[in-house]
Amino acid sequence: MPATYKKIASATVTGSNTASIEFTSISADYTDLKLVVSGRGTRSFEVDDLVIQFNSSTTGYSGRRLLGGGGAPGSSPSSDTLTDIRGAVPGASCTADVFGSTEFYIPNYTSSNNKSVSVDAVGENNAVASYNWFVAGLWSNSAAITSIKLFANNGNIVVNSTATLYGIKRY
Amino acid sequence: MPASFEPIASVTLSAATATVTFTSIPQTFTDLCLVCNYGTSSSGRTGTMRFNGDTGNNYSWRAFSGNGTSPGSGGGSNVSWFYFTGQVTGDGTTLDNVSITHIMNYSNTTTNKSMLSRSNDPARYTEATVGLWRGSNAAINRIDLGRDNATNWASGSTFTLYGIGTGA
Repeated sequence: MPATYKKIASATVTGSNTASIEFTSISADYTDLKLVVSGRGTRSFEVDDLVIQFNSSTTGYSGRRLLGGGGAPGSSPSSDTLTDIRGAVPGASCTADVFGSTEFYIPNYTSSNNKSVSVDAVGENNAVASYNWFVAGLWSNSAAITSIKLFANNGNIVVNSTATLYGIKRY
Repeated sequence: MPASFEPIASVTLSAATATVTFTSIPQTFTDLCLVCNYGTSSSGRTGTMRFNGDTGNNYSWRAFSGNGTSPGSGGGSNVSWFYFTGQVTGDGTTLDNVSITHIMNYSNTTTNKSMLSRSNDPARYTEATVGLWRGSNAAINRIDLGRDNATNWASGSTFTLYGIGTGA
């Protein structure tokens, strides 16, 4: 039986911090993609955006975000619109060795429709500087996704960050 | 190696359809995951979910959402379905919406069943929903996905039910 949830590729940042992580030549053998990231950024702040781009395209991205920040429990969440699709990584202001988690789910990544992306991101810090957000993302482009680039919007991705791309097949 | 994330059934609509139904769901997994990529015929309407054909007022749900301007929440008790998606933009052709729903421990016969759903319309909202079905403690063997106010899922929409667990 063919694998229906298979690791396509994985990357671990080693040696020195990196500006981006890229997956190229993504197989069209699956129906959906899931990208799971454990990461941290160098930005001198509590959090940095972990932006995803497809096929080296810098245009056509939009989204809506629901954001729970680092206030006291029960403090008000917020919502905003985006001109990119983003998860998040804890920044340099967070406690040492704290890494955050982001999951990107991309159904029908080879279709000729626009690509919808569901994003969940969390960063717990045992301090005020924590976050939890959901994103509804859209790449308005009919091309099949063949490459993915991840980068921190205001810095680099630190050593020991990992990103794993899974292929999911519905039949 | 036994399958741990296996497609049970998948539906791609060839025409606008009011209800998508998964029947005879095998009881060989521990959890279910439903992935939907869809459009709709009308704006401002939600996706509904029922288990085992139960049309009684045995469902409740709570949702937490953001529309790009402000957060919001809502819910329903003693109603006849879950809302498992938010109120989407509808034009009948655009397939921009996605939902990912987890149904935990679906085959047990001793507890009520709950679900967690993440749904998105990039033009309208992002949302997380929790739902509870109190109709019976029966194992879930059927799932109906409808739309409120007699609206339709758009042609081309895809719905896939995965089983998670050790397999048979």
